[in-house]
Amino acid sequence: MKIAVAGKGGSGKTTVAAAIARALADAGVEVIAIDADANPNLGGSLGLGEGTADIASIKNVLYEEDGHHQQSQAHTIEHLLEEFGVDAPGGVRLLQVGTVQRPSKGCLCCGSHATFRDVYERIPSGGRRAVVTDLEAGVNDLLWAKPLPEDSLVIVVDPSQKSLLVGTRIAAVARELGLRRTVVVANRVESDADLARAKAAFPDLQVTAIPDDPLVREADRAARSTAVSAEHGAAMPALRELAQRLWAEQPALA
Amino acid sequence: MHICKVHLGSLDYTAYMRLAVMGKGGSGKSVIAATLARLRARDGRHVLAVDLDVNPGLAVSLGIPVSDDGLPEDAIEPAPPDIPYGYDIRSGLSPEEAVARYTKQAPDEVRFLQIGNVSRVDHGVQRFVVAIRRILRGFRPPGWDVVADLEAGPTTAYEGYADFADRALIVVEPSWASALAARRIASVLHESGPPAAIIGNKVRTAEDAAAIQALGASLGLPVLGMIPFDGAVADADREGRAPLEASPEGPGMESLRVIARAL
Repeated sequence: MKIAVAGKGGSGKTTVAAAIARALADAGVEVIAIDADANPNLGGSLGLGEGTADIASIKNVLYEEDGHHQQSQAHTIEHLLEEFGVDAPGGVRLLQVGTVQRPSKGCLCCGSHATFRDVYERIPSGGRRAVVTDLEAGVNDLLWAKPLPEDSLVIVVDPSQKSLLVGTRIAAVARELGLRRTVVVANRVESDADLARAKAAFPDLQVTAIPDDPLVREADRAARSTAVSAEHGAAMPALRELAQRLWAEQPALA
Repeated sequence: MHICKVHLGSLDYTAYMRLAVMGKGGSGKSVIAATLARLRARDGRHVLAVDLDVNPGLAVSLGIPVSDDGLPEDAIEPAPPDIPYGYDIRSGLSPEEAVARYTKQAPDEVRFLQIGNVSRVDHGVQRFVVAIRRILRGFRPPGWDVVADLEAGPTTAYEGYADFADRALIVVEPSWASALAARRIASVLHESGPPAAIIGNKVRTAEDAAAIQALGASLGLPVLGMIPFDGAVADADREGRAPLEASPEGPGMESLRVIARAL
């Protein structure tokens, strides 16, 4: 199955994606985590520490070779997984798409986005394999990835109105794409009022509340695995439960 | 007002401020950009505030309702293929005219311009981005400050979005990912971009402040200010209000006043 995690920047996409990936891996699922953000940091939340900043990205390495944006297609997906995949703690295999390196007057669409779409489309996800993707902030990556109707989308929102606004735009795109399962994570919920606002913003979607958790903030300060260092906090158990539900109740194939 | 300016002594209030506000998503770019814009306007400047992010945020922090309006279709036209995204501002449309026509009035007489809602499957690439950037670069009438809120992360730095500005503010909150984004942005700007400075935001402890100071030192960038975590600003964000109205005397707004003066 494929699970894409989207939301406004800073809403907690990466934390949620890492927690879902780790929870599924702990349950014996083969998990591939894709970091599609141009400021990749999923490795940090997965427990790869400061070294995350130095992980090779598919797009960057392939571009070094010949600067052609169809490059990734010349490789089999198994080769890309083997060549660029990094083993994170808990048995999650992390694949990083690309980051910026040098200034350019051009646009990135032809680079990172095309590479991401190509990888996302081709990566097999049947059987006991889950592909968990941490998307770039906002709606852009979702428009590029064009997930299939059977793929799952997790929209992460924090209690700010801006975050809810971006979340509802993402939900509208998900409807246009015909995604059959979109769920909302109301992250950093501090009160009933926070949760009520999130539910009101997404009347047709299932909303899961994740309580505000100082342990997660603490882990974020220093690139520590949230699943491990915030294990006994309030947020991680709720995210583990969400991951199990996503796995157990997969939408039927089209 | 005049007394205030006299007291500020060495600061040159006739200088224009062309500011690109950058940083990781959620670090507080919009709150900082909007508040600086309004504070400068209160000091008697004309201010153009531009949201260069397709995810709306600046309007909320300025205190105006969010809308989907950006440049109208007739403000852009297909461009030669060497222009990214394939569109450009309509020929003959001057930046001044574009600002007069397509901006909205925000509080404190700030003029507000945004890309608009391009988050539709059928909208394709961001056709309006090139046109908005053209307006930003060309708009230099006397007496005007320009503050732009850039899309999160290092991509906009890479694509040269800050090229209109004479200073980039990189907003950093106390998280490893936010510092990593700042490093990536700073390294791109260092090669090609305006001089950059760091602003610490949502700072809770002395350790937070020390970490951000150390980041600035390691990047060789000045740290212009350290904005403390302010629950009232977070509450304003919940309610979708401008923090300058919701909590004008709070520690967050107070430190932004100091930063506005220092700029």
